[in-house]
Amino acid sequence: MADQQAEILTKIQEIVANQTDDLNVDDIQLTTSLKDGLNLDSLDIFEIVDALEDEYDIEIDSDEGIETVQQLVDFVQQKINSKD
Amino acid sequence: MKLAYLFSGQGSQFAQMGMDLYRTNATYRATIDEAATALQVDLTEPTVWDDPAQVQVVILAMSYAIYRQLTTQLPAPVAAVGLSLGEYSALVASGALDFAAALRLVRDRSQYMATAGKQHPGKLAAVLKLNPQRVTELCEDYAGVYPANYNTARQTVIGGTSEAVTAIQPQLLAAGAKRVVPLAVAVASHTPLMESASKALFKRLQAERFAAPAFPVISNTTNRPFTVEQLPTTLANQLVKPTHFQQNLLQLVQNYHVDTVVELGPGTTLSKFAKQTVPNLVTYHVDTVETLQQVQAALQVRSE
Repeated sequence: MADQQAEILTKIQEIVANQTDDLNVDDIQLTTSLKDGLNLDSLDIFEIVDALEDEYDIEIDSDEGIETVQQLVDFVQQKINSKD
Repeated sequence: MKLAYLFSGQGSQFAQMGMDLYRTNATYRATIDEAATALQVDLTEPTVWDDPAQVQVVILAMSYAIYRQLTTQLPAPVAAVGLSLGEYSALVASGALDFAAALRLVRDRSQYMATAGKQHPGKLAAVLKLNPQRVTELCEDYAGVYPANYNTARQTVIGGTSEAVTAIQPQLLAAGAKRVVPLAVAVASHTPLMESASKALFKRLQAERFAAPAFPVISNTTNRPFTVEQLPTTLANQLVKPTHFQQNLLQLVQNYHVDTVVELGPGTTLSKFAKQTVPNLVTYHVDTVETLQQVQAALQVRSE
């Protein structure tokens, strides 16, 4: 489980760091707030969710209530595991 | 390095933005003080600076103040693009528009827009992951909704009456749009709902004088460089016609061989669009002391 969390985090770091040259992988930790910590707006968060959907072949209907990187990791993990 | 500047539009402003630059950077401070004199408002007062009614002039002043600082340190840009309001910052930077005149012009423009918005209340929504051409076609079938911003291949903003923007949503989703995200604005900029504002602005522009720009500024509306003769028409049309920022970016790369872009003004919206449209572009943005230092260090500019 922990390995899977770490892998999802790495993926999120990669996706977010690719959005601009302003953010580094180190800026993105589990406790980081997506909005305030990374200055992402709802459209940016959509882009991340969208890339995660493609990566893990999952469907995320709504990103409502997801505020931190940890919550996003948990959400993706739950989707992956409910798929099996 | 072939450098282009991108000038921020509205939507990414943040409270107290630029205050750190004002405190520490003499060029920045002098530019903001000049703006305060031109507008006869106290821009050091947070209630004025952060007032939504002032946001257009504040973004112009901030963007141009950062430009003034950077331009003494970086190579001359080969071209520039601003998004919507950002076109005024780009035109001022290029020398086509006088700074003080542009501030008063933008102040009036925002009033014309607010008035037109009261007459014809509107709504904007971002349509995600549907081909822009399909979005355009679907809008043609609906009265009262129009493409407003062609931002990237995956993001088109539509605008129109609240009813029409709501009514078209199921069609967009059925056609394959991943999501339709309403934007928090009450004015449908870049659509025919802004007709009265466009007319008032055209009239207002007749009183202004323009100079030839020192570098090309690519218009959102025509996707061609602004010319002195066409400036009033192009800026007036901008309010009622869609912006073509994706095409603007492609043109920067294809026609001007740009490899590095620096976004000036609040936020990173334009840098993100640039990254999505041309992934190998090197992108920076400046809206704080920290990001200014990052750009100065990265581009190895000489210090003052």
